[in-house]
Amino acid sequence: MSISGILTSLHWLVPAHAAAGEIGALAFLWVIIELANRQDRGYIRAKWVSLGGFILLFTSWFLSGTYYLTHYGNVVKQVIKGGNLAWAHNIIMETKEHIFIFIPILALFAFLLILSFPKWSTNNKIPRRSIYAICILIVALGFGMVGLGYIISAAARATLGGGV
Amino acid sequence: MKNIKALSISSIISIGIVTLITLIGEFSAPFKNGLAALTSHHWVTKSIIGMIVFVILSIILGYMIKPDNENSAKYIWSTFGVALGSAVVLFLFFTIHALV
Repeated sequence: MSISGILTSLHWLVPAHAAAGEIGALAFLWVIIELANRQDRGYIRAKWVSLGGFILLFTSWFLSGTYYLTHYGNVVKQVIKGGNLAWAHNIIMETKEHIFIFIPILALFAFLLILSFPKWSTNNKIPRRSIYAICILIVALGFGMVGLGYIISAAARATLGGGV
Repeated sequence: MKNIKALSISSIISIGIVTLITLIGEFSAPFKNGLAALTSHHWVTKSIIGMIVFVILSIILGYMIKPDNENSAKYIWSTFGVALGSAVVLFLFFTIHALV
């Protein structure tokens, strides 16, 4: 399957954006573990993993935006808003799509933060807890997106007849 | 150590702008339509604005603002607070907006 095929196929776009987002969020969990160990090698891994996490979350943002513009707005949104579960779009999707905008920004911020402390294992003045908190927030928001996405797809299925 | 203060202020402003233009767009249809007209969709415009503001401000403020490494934690926690607060505000706003 080519990249253009993925970008135009609903069956690839939905799992691809979810997978990129989940793996990207998990990357920041990995980063926390590496940083908490306070080893030089762990810090180097944390730098690369946080860069990978940012790239994955940015990719997820791009794929989900493509899905949102090509499929969701034209089809799924109309289905949900036409049924009894319109709140799934009006509350859940509206919240999801706007929080999603600043997750890649937070991921880039976290990567640049980690890059800023080359003496991670030896310098005791590094604000470790606040950096962990940013990473935890990225993980929480990333998996929050997954949960909200599940509610939206469940609402669409239920509106179309349920049990699908 | 890089300029954490500049990075934090940039992220706070970019996340704040995304949240603010989202809320303004929900109250003003012409504003939302204007955002949509800039690209193809208001979501795309907000996304591009958020990322560009963060990157450009990080570079500009990195030169303009003196690093304040003693207070790095304060700036990072502020970013955490603004990001978490924005998420909560957006959820509460859309909940109230849908129910009222």
